[in-house]
Amino acid sequence: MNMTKSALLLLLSLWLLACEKKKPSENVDSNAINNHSASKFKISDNQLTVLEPWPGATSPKTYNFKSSPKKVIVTSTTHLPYLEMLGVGDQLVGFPGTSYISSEYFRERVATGEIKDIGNDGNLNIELIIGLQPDLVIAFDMGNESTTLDKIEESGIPVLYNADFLETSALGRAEWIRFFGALFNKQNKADSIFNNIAKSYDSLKTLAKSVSERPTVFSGVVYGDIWFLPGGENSAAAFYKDAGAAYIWESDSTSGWLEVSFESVFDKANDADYWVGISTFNTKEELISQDTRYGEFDAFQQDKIFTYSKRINPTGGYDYFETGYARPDLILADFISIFHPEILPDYDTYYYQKVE
Amino acid sequence: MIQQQFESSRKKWSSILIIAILLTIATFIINVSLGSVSIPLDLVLKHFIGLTIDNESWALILSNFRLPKALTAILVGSALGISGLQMQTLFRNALAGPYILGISSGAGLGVAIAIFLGFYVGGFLELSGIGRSWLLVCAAGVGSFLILIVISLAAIRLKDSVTLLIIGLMFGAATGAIVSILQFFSQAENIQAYVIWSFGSLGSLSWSELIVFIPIILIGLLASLLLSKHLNALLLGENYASSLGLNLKRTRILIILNTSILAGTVTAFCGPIAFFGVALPHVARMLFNTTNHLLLSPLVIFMGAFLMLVFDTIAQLPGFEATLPINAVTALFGAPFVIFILLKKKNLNYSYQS
Repeated sequence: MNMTKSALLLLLSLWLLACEKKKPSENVDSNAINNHSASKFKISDNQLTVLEPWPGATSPKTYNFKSSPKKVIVTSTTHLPYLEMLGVGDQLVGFPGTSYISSEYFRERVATGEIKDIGNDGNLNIELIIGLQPDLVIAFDMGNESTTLDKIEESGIPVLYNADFLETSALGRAEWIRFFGALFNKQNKADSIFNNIAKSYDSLKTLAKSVSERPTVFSGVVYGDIWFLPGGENSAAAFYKDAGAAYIWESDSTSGWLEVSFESVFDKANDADYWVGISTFNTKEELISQDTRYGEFDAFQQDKIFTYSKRINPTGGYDYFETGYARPDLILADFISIFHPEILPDYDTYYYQKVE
Repeated sequence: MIQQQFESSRKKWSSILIIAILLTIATFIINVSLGSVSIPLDLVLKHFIGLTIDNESWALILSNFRLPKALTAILVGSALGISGLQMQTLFRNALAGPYILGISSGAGLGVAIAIFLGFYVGGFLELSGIGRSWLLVCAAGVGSFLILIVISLAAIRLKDSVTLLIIGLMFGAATGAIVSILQFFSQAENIQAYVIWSFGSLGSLSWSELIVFIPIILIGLLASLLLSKHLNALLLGENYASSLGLNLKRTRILIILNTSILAGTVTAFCGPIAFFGVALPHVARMLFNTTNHLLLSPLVIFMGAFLMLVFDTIAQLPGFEATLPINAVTALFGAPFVIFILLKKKNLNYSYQS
């Protein structure tokens, strides 16, 4: 009897708690600032809501902030360009795996000791993090790192989940600069940066719309027996389309990645016009020394391979993977100048270069 | 009477061997004609008897993708089967296999070092002109060769094969630990590269690698046939074998060398292909109730080739764009097979009782 009573009470209080939690977010909805293309976060007065904090998350996470943080830790190189673009890079005190950073600004701060290494990626060192006394940890969770992050939260340091990698469109991902803008009280700056990026992306897209011929394109390399390719609904596929090219797997309906056999890729793509993005290979010689069959592709024989190796940092990191997500306009411009050089005759590519 | 029995079993043996060879040829043809890309059988046959076919990319797929893969499957199957047989006899243990002495762990460690420290090694390799595909092959080769040397040294010192087995297991455990430490300190993409290597792959060898792979494996297989007589003597018990005038230490080292070269080369080029080498010898013994290695060895070689071709055909998932990792297929289809044998035979010690 007593047991059931207390259980009922517990249920009731939980239900009440749930109701109470719901209310404020409903109120906030009315004055929320609308997003352009991002769909995984929401900004309202003094409140940030990450709608899907990790893949498959069922409930949103809300972060209330009274003042902007002075000392932060971010956990992915893709978070860095937002801080730098907003001019709040000096508030970064720790980063896991500092040798992977491409940005010269942050590398210098690592060298002078203003940014401390807090462990290898995936393995955040909790003691080092607590020792740095940050106001906030901006983390990401692909679905299994939560135990470490929970411990950080338990120690009193708020953890903010950045789920930009769950955005399905390139512009949506770039819009996460507004998420950082809200956090650091730089809304206006973030809005204007993002609006400029979106505007230049859209105008580039319009330029490429008028092309009469769409060259065919494919990407990636084989790992073991499997060739990983962006699905037809993947944001990579959208880049090819917006740049006026025909992606070989365009009609596919996957938004993730396809795992295809080498012979299948060869069958469909051996006469494709362009081959873009070849993982960590930087020269044709490296490609052929890995697998001589790469040499049979038309794109290989006609020197039409392009990859994101133009900007590599001294320790071998690709800037493309650090700042690329924040600058979809530059990626699109690179692709347009690759596929249709006549549209952007004076443009010098930023990330991509021809593979020699 | 003994003579008669011998005659009849010889006949049975030749017929099984002929069936195995015919099956291998048939599955070879099936294997090269099935894949993600569907190519009509008549065009496949046309291509392989030397006629030109209109579709140039199909011709390239057949000669540059499917033929190398099928040849790799044949050699991998026979090499793993025969080295498993040799290890089971040497250690008189039904659970022994080509990797029992830590060959694959050594190879795995080499590959892990190459991948996880790859960035530092990469620059050196580019200078020396060694291609990328050879990076992992060399790393795995060096890794298994080092293990081989240590095991051989131990084999010279030790009289007992079981002690050797335990040393092999210890090596496996220690190298496994080092690999996990390396993994812990590595970036996600490198861990992924290592995991992909450990899945095993039959299709990543192109002709430039096969030129090296084919002769090494063929020599190893030939040596295995020549060692069969010694294996028969070993089966009678080590004391008995030495009383027959067999130099026990030398034989043991020769067998270890032979197995290591076969299993080490396979692992270096294709990754660790588990399970196959343990299961196949049992299947062969069951089909042909003998422990005579003069008869068993050729049988294991052809059955290995046949079964690996079958597994590879399954892994290709004909008609689909995707493929399955070969390691998953061998274990998935091999395990029920071994269970079946165990239930049927009730006892596997039959092969080792003298």
